[in-house]
Amino acid sequence: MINLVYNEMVKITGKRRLLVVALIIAILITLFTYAQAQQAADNRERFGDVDWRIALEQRIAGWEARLASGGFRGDDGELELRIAQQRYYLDQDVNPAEPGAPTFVRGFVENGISLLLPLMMMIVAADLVSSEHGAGTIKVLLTRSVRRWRILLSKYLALLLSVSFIITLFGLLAAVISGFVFGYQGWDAPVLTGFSTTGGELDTSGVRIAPQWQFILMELGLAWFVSVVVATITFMLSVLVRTTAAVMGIMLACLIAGTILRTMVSSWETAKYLFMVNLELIDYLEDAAPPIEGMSLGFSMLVLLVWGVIALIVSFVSFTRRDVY
Amino acid sequence: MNGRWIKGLMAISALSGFIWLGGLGWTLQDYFAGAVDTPAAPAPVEEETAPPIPDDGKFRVVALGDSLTRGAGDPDGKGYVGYMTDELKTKAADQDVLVNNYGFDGMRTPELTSSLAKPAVRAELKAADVIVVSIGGNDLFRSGETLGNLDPGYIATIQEAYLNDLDGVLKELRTLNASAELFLIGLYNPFIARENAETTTKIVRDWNYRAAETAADYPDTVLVPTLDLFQLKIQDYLALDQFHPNAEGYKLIGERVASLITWEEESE
Repeated sequence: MINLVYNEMVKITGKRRLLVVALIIAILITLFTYAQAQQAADNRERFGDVDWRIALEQRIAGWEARLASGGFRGDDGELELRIAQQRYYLDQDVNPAEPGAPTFVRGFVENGISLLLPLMMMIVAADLVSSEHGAGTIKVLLTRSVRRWRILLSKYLALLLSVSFIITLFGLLAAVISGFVFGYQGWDAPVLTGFSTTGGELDTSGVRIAPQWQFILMELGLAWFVSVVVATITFMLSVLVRTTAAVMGIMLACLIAGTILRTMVSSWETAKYLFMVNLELIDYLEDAAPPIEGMSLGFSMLVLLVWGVIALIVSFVSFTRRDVY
Repeated sequence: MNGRWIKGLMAISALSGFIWLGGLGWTLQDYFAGAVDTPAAPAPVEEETAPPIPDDGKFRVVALGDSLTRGAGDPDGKGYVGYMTDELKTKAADQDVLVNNYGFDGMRTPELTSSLAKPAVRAELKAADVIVVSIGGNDLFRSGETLGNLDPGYIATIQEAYLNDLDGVLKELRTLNASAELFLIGLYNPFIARENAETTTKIVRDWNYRAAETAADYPDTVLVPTLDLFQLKIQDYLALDQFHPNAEGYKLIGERVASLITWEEESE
């Protein structure tokens, strides 16, 4: 089995797919790093004469006064955590508006999880099976003594390996490249997490502070899960549809429809069962309201899991039963 | 040679796969179990009555109110309370001046009422020699909302509500502390250089007049006017947000309040 997987990895690397993905990610990260550095410089120019420490101290003092006088309309516990969070920046002498590479990575994963990462997965997964049709090698592959499901499984395992590798690459490149510009400080900066929504209202009772490195690890874990599901669905299409271009077209349409739907569907409730509406898992860790009421991390992951499992079953059934001629 | 490279890649990929799976597991554990082990019961409520503060000879100032008390717009964050204290300290260098500032941005009068229920605030108020209050600006302007609706009927509604709340606040303050001098900071018109200046200034003038009438029911309660301070050279005294005073503007208010504070303690 491991030889079969190895064989598939040779094919994937031979097509330089991973190299293309790495290049795209590296170029995008460089662009975003540059944009963010420009913005930071712009802010410095505009608010240059204000010392951020004083501004931060004022904000903390304001919050503390709010706590002391009890006029705060929300949850006191959340405010205390926010004060603790801002104090970290003062203690560590880090300007919260100009954070280091870890904060960049956190934001980048958050923004990449719903479109950029799935697109990268698509590049690898789209032609895994369909290209065998295109090149006519499918017959060579299937006339060997290996059972069909093992061939497909080896392809799928190679895909899983590639997905894991791309996530690692994504995190590493983001940290290394942005670190050149922003510096590598802030791995243990506090991040607020544990928000939940009950009845459409943001519930802050479970809010707690996580160090940033843990939050990034959690984010990448979620990104990995999303990527695996998207890759699995692309894999299924690659089995069902014989031209790679069509696979790419269908997946692109789905993913882009997802980004549009997420902003529009709050009234169309059944849309929450579509996989592309459920890709922004990281939002659940933060204080963002879900696109449709009733969605939660557990719900979205379950929907994605069901889609992934069904796609996997369809791929195997179709691949093992189909006549190839 | 190529083969070993790919095998290495596979090993790294497999390893990272397990790491991210671990990250996913951690997320789930944190998301679903984390909420449970945070204490479900709210943190123990502060003791109902804070211990009374003994009179240690210090001159105690308690500041209550909105962003003016907080000092929004002042790069140093001192606000009129800070400049007032500076002034007091130069007036009587041998006197210890202790300031407690409970102001926060955006405070409206109902919130002031609820903050008066806090035991710590009540204890401070009971021991205060001077109480300064800036309130009403957010009741009237509502983050600029009111500018779009200068209808007299609407203004009258919010004014009645404000005066009613203000009366409650003053009554409560006088119940807590009958002897402290109480300074209520009047409103200025930050929109005096904009369109409808005549209307807005009239509204502010009327607002201050009615507030002063309400304050007149209580002893040693002074409404400190600020409308005149900002009337002529508003641009010199406003912060970048064109609403809050800047450092110079706060200095004007602070000095005016400080000039009203007398030093009976000294003569004793």
